[in-house]
Amino acid sequence: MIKALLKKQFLELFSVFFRGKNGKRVAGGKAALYIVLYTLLILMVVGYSTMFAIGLGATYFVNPDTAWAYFGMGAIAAVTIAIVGSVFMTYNSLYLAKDNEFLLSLPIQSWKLLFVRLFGVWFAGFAWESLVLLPFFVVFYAMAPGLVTALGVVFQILLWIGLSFVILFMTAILGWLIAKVATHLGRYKTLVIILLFLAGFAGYMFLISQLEGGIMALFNDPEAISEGLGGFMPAYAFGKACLGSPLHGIIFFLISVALFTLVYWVLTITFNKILMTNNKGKAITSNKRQDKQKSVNATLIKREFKHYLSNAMYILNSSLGYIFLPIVGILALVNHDAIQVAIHTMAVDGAGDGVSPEAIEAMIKALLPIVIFFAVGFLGGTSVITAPSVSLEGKKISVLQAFPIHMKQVLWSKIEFHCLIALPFVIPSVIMAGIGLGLGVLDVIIVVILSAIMIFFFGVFGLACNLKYPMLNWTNENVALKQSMSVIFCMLVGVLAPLVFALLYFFVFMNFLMPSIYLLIIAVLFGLVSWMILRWLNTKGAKKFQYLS
Amino acid sequence: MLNIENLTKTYGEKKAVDNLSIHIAPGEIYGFIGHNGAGKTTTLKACAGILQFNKGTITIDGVSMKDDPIGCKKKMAYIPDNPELYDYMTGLQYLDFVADIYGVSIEERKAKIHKYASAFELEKDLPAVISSYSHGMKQKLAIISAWIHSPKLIMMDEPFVGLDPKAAKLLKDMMREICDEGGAIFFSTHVLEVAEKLCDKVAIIKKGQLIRSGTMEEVKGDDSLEDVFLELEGDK
Repeated sequence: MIKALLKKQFLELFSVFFRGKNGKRVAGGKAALYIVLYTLLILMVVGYSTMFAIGLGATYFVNPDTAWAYFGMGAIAAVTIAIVGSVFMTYNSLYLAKDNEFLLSLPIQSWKLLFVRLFGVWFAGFAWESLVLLPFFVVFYAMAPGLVTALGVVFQILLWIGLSFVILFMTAILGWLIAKVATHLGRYKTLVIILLFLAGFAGYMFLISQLEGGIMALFNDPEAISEGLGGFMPAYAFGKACLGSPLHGIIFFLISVALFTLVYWVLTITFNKILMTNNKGKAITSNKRQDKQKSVNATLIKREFKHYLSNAMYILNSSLGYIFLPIVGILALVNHDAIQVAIHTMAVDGAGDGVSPEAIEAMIKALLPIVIFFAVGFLGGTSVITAPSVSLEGKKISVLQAFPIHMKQVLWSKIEFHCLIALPFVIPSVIMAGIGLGLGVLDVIIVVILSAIMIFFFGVFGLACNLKYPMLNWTNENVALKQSMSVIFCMLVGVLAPLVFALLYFFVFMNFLMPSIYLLIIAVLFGLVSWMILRWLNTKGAKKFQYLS
Repeated sequence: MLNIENLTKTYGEKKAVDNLSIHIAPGEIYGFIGHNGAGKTTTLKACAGILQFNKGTITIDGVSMKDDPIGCKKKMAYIPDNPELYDYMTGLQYLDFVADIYGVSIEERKAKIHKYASAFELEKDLPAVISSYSHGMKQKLAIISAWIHSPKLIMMDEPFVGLDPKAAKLLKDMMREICDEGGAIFFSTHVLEVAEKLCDKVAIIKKGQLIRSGTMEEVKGDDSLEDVFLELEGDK
């Protein structure tokens, strides 16, 4: 029975590659495209992990006594990425799966059902963890072959699995917490879930920053290391085990297995109870009557807004970047003086061979608008509200199709909504970052214009991608949010386009184009491409939307 | 009111609707019956402008669906077989949304919502979010939303599924009321007793082709509609 349930679980997980809309088999080319896109995404994460590992290795491999911190930090990074990547999957697949009621009605013991559900969740966390941790192992072998021991390799493999149990423990607790919140809250469910997620994330990041500071402080006090590490124990134990300490390895592995057992036991007790309560939560009610007739455009935007606010995953998945941007802007503004000092120090350090510090400082300052462009592109591209918006219509798309309105009005409302949400975050953030980094007025204006055009570009691009590759046949909205090809496309373009433009500038145009002129050219380019996509959306795109099913 | 001429719709090699012609005059309740997969939903969706068809013409009150789909849609309302409504809205918000799309004034929509919601005993549930509704409640809401802009033609796919007997009776009265005011109703159903009692005309479709149509008397003669249907379908 468990085999049959596992098969069903994995069919669900990988259906995006093999089953298209209406459950029909995906054409070979499309399946290949999916696989290529996901491979690119995986390579990106692996690439970032490798760079991070190399950076840490350069710091911590210098002294063999500090090498444990390399693995400790790697484990923390892996846990962070895995939790962010799979916490909502835990909540959705454990408590919101559409087939829960069906499976509960079958003669299946709940522990088996839970085992299969947890296996899927564990697998997702393990996959995310591996993307981060495996590059750490490889970089270790390459950079510090002298520190490699046979026992170390054995414990690396063992703790690679052990750490996935720790991740499962943490995501299960967070998922359970979200499920409890969702069951007891009505109107403010979405808001509370988002705040919980952000608070958890902020708390975790704070702990990491404290931990890194603490580790550095410990390195300056060798006695503290020999006497034990108190709060840093898990990271320390993981690091020491990866270097071949059997005691630390066994303790870490046993604790991780104990945590897994604990979470499985608690969930077995509470699983049925949570499922059999109304997992939709309290019914939201509103007696507010509309007292003014709205235009079609206003009512369509309001509909987008209501949909957006109804799903915490939608907000977090498509807007997390917009939450980070103001933080970056405020930090730049608050640290204005420190940034100027840092730039000056970099200029002084980099001077020599006939190049004056003033010339280097001027060059760094001239390049700062490109840095802002990169940040907006990166965070904006990973936060495209339109990218899953066609898929999210699901089977309800026929409601809009039957209305006496042109479908380009519907598409335009999606673009408008994306801009309405994004621009109030992006524009002030860019202005704050510009002032904080010490940009001139003209440069700030150019960066603001470019950012606004890029946000519009991402809006139309995301929508066009989703129209091209819609996924209407989902059983849970979060499948459309997480597995839509359009979302992956936008993330890739958002990450790669600014990178390519930045590299192009550094290697090709830097000698004969001022950064501000270069950014203006990019703005015109993005504007032109956006206009062309918009034309397609208004004609062929609208027609496609009218008959999507 | 609704003229379907030589409608053909294919899915790949398969003809879902094959050269179908149906004419519905103002004041008529027109039933559409056939086995599962006979082509009823495909026809209704094509008439609602949400499914492209290969051949033929569809006109609603003289307006062509191909030439002026928006003009056509202004004159009609469509209720699908499974009411897919926006779960994230309350019933009231959904009705306001539909009313705004059709440009229904505040006064008119308030009157209509009160009239139909109280008749369906849904008024107290309207402030609740649709995700908390049962299938029948969703169906009632879909019906109210279809009636809210006073369409001339209402097309419904299995409208009685999920309705309690009282609501079903109310819907029948509402259908008759629309027709008495010069409108028309085109609906599919598997409940042959309902079709027999309610419809002025009926069409029987099999494998995408119209096999019989006309007034109820013309179609069934002295037999029951069930007997005629089963005989035509070759099940008897």
